[in-house]
Amino acid sequence: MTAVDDAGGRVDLGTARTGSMAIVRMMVGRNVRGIRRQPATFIPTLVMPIFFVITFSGAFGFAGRVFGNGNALSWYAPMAIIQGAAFAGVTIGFSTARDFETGFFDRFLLAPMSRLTLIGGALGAAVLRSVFTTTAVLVVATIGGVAVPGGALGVLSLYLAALGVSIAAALWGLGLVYRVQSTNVGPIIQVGIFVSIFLSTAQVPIAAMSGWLASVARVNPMTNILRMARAGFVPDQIAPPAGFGVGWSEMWPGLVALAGTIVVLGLFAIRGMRRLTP
Amino acid sequence: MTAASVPAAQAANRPQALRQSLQLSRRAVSSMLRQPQVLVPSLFFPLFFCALNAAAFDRITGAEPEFAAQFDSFLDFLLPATVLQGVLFGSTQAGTEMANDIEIGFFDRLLASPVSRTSILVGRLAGGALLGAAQALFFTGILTLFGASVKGGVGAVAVLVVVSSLLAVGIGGFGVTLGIRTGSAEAVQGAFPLIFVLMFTSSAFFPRDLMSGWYRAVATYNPISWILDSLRDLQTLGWSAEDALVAIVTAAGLAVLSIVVALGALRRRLRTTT
Repeated sequence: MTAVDDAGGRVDLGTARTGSMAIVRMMVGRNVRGIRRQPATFIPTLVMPIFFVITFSGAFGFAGRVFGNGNALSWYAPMAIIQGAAFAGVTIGFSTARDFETGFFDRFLLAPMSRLTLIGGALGAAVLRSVFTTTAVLVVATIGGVAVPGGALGVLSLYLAALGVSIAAALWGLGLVYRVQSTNVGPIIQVGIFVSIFLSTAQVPIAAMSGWLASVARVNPMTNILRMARAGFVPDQIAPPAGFGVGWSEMWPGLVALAGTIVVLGLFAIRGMRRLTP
Repeated sequence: MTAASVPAAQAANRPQALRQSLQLSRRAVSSMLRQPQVLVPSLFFPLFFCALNAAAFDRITGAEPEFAAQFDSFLDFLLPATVLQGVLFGSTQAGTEMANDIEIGFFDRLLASPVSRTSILVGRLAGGALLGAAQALFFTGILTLFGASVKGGVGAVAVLVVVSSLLAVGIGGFGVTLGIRTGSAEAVQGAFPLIFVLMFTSSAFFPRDLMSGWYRAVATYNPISWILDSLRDLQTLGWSAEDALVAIVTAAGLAVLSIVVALGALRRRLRTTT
């Protein structure tokens, strides 16, 4: 059984012989083709993080010492990468909302395949998009003078954090879209992402904050995720590793925060999906 | 009608055009009031970013002697930027509404009626100007409650209100141009990131004196910086006719430019559709 959407994207919706992984691959492929046909839907995901890296580091270059290694760009580049990964995840929610409005998602629901496969395909696409944005922003930041003293492990922890955030953001978007089934939910999805990122150490370290923001940032899981993402870029301010490198003490709180967020938002998305097919 | 009587007829129509502009402005305002959810982002986001940035950057900037000499807090620094941010976010609505009118066919009905073509544009932009003035008073009131000061007094607030209205016309005019040319509300909303860029490459959120390199150069030539820096001087150093003039003239220049561009787009659309 094959479905063709309005944009010409073709997806084999599965026969008895088509496995879940094959369907996930096809859905990811459809998403990639969607980017090629409508690049305008993806370009902001790429441009905005690069823009943030440039503006924030340009504006706060004078306060380099506050960011640990004297270079504001090293502080802001991982933040912009995490933000780009979150946007990459969120756009999956938007494209799913469009599928609802055009009726294409109903055809997915009629197909003889596991509903979890639909979520899996969307998450696969989110991961692929975030790999692309992460690499692009990292290249721009490197050209701009960012060094990674943490080495390969530092880059790995950055990618791990970015991929985790893209999955969490996609689950958040999907959970809302499955409930509202309209592109009108877009602003709510974006506000959720903006608030969770900016109410953390996205802009400055906790020590530099004043008032209520420091209290909120301390309990926001995004703070630990950003700490993990920055592990290879700036010295950790809470528990510096011996020498300059990526320490386990910087990694495990981020991994726990990511796992917890993904589990909670995963349940949110799955429950939303179950409402669609009682 | 002879050629000689045309100017006389135009003069006689002037009060009518004014009445039509007022009617269309009223329509624009009531349309905004009927959809309060559309106004929420232009009120919520500026306040959110103001609260966030005040808490994030107060210590860093306060430690810089140049900054501390003029501003009591980062909240003081952010007041004009918060107002302008709200105005810029809100003024895209004029373009979106114009595109909606085209999409639903109301624009064609206006063209079929004996309404002045300029009134269609003026009515739409006047609604945005009123919203801009209301936003200026709203944000100034809220931030003053939280400790921001306006040393320039009532005069500085009046300039802030006038500049906000002019800027709403200026940015709204560019939105309306886009709305007229594309006839698509989605295309107008898609241009929203450009406003973000305009704000972030100015001295809106970051003190220009502390910037360096090319970023400082870009901010120096951004007209939004000229407006903001003058408003900040009025707010924190006290009343100055020169600062008031710079802010008003810059905003008025943007407004005139955008009206000229929007009128050009309107004329072009009239030529192609009639």
